[in-house]
Amino acid sequence: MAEQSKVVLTGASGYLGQHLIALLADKGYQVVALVRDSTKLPSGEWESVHYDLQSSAELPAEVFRNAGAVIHAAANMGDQSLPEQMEIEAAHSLVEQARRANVEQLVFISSCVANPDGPSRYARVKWAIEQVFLNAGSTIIRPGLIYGGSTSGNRGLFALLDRWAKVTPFVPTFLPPLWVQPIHVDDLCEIILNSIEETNDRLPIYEAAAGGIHLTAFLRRLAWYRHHRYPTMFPFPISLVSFAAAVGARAAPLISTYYVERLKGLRALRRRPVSETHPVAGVTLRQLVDGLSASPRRGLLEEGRALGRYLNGQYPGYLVLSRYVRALEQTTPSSKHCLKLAPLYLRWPCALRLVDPKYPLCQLTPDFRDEIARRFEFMAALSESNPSTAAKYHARKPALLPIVALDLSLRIFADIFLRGLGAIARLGSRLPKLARTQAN
Amino acid sequence: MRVLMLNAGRGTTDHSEIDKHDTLRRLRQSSKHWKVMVGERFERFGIDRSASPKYRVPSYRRALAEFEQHYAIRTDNFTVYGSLMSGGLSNLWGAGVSRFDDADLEEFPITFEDLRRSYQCVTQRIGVSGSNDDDLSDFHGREESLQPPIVPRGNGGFLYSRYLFRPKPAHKRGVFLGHNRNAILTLDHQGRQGCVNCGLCTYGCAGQSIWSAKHDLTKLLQFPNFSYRDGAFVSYLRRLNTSYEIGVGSDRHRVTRKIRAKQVVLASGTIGSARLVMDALGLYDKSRELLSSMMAVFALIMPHWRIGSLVDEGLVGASQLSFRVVMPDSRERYSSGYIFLADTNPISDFLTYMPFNYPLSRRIARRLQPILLLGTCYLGGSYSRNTMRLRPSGDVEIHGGCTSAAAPAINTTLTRLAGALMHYGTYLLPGSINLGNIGEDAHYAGTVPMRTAPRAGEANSHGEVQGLPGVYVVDGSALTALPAKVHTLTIMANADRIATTMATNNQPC
Repeated sequence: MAEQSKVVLTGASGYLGQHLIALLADKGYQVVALVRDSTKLPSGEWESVHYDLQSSAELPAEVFRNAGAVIHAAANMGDQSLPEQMEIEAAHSLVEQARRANVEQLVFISSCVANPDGPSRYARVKWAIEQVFLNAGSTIIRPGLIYGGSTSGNRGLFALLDRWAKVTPFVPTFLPPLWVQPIHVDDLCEIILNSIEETNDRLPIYEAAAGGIHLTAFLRRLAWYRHHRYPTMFPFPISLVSFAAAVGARAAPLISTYYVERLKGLRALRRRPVSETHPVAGVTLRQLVDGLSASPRRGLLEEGRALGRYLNGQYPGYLVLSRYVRALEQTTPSSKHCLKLAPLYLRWPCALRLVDPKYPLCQLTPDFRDEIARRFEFMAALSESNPSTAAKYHARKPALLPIVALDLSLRIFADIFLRGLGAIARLGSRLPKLARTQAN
Repeated sequence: MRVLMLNAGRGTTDHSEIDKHDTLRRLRQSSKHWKVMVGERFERFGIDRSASPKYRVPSYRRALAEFEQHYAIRTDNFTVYGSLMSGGLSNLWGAGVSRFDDADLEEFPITFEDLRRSYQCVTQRIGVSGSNDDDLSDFHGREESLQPPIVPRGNGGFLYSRYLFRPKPAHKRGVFLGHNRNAILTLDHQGRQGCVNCGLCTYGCAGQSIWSAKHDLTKLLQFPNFSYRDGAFVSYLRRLNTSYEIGVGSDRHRVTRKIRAKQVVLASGTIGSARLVMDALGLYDKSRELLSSMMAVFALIMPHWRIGSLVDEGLVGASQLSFRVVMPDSRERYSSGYIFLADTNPISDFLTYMPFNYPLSRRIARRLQPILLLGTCYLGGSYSRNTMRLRPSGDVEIHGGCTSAAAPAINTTLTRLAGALMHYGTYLLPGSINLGNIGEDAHYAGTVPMRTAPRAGEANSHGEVQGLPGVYVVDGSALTALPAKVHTLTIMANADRIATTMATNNQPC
């Protein structure tokens, strides 16, 4: 791949395609974009060639000449009347032409819903095309719910959710809950890039998705992180949605069929274990707060604000927060993403007592414990060295000995009591496991 | 005789953020505190949190940078510290000075008498403060030209006054306390200012009260036969017929200039000098002993009315008191250490070690800081089992280790010390003992040791390397043994002695 730096990309004008083509061009690849409508392609230094999934006609031979990789990211997202076989034939034709031109790498961007017996057309077509590419010895990438970046002018699921979170004052609590496994569009682009650059130990299928999250929780975070809104929750049975969508489909088929299809796909989705999907192809996936925020630093700022409030009893000022973010970004590249903290901790920083790395009240993984301890250390040093919070570390007024002794004693007893509760809770959570082990 | 001094690094430590009129309390309330404590490039965070607070100070982090990379040092169970900057490690040392007595020099091919004049000469030149009439005067060595000692303040003062009032309980346990002997001026001396008790010793001394080798460089440059070049890393030393070729460049791979000299004096540090000697003699893949002091850090508490009070003004961040613990049943005769005020240290450094959650640790440390003391304890180099090896590629490998007796010796030292200090209302804080990483003391010695009958790669009593006539080692590498004392003064005195001999031998007839 290093010698052949030409990449052929289908679906370059789509949500993923627009991000991917920019990254490839940025990395110095010569990109040939295969698109149905070249006017939708963002401006840049790439060549565009007309390509339509409804046609299996051969492309000009020059398209594949000296190409190192073909990435098939095009998919029919709207027209449900298009026969499934036509899209599969188009993929067949693409693979054949690439093989004839001796293209080394073939990558297909599938979906985590891909399933031969899937309830949606989308799931079945994705699975069928996967078989075509697997037979040709290609790489399959199965992303979860792609989110992040610009959503203007595209019809992906994230664009729909984004519009919902931006406009409506409500977030539906789907019953039963729907799971999604989100992945940031930039992370996915990096995974794709790594998969075409990696020549050894390449896997046939990459599950490109993070750990699962309820769709409702995802929508809430989307509303808060991206649009600074706190929407109201209301219960929403899935069956009712399906019914409404079906009625809507009869009334306005062109509008509703797409959403019915996506909903069917989501209902059929089963959560994959995180350990199998994280990290992917050498890429550590970013946290939701990082990915959803308008600014990449927002997650770190919110985290620093909560840590500072918990540690010092007052929210840190702008200077401390900006230094905290820069310190994390500059000292270790792995620290540029924020910690995976639930919104509870960000809204009520006193809850951080539960995950205080010195004496946590709940179970923490060693990595998380080390990382949060490091961040507490950063926050403590930065707070101490700032005049606005320095008084929290070096007293400026003397205090009476009995008052100091009483204050500290009460706090120590309270902490010991909390630690006892935490120990009992941890023991309680282990008991069922212990009982099962003994029974076996 | 013309002398050319080559220094690998460029520039020296920068304390421009600290003003002569600054005090610790004033700095803590100023907006520049973060630049001094954390650093604009966040240097404080780029090091293991277990490292000494001194090594975490941003200006010192910059001084320590690139040493390992330049010498291509690979370590195993050993933390290496060195500096290429002008003045080297003396830019960030604790400024403790002690003479080696005849018992300390037992394994050396020289005696105290050989060093006496050089000790006097160096002490007068750098300016040393201390006392000639306390329990540690003989331990540090009596000296006529001493400046008045730094007066122990705060808790240090309380502890010492109680000790002076009733020293017997400590003496019974073989524990002796005294003023520390420091290369810190208490009176103005040769253009340098006497200590004004600003409490900023940890961050850098704006009044130049703490001696650094860079101060001597200014004087050396006044000699017409002396020239100095920095940014000149000595890559190799090669023997020619009657002289030596020295390869000089910006790093060890880029030799941009070759210099010829009849006599070469190596003062690149214990590791750097040994590397050049081993390379010149072709002693590749051969293990060489590297002495270091095992150390421990601990906290003491003096529970009294100062709980809740404010940190005093007029502090000294350097050590207040030093102690010696007699160890009759061990291979070393004694161990020693220093006691510091905790007031001058950042509170955030304590949080990790306190047995409470973070906010509670902060509250407790804030109120208990005025009643805390910190201590460091050092063992002799005979407890270390470090080896250094030079690879044919030029890489240096250091393997750290210690004898099985090291941990019990530290335990014995601290048990005796705690038992003695209990009589003065000072208690060792439970769980506060922290054994330093091997090599963290930065008291390295003995890689090209002086011997009566030196073998290849060792030095004779004049510091001349066996197999390399005309090449002299004058730094820590030349020390034959490392007692439980700070060895800096002895290194300087030994260098003075060797240089005096060289100058005498080079006098035109």
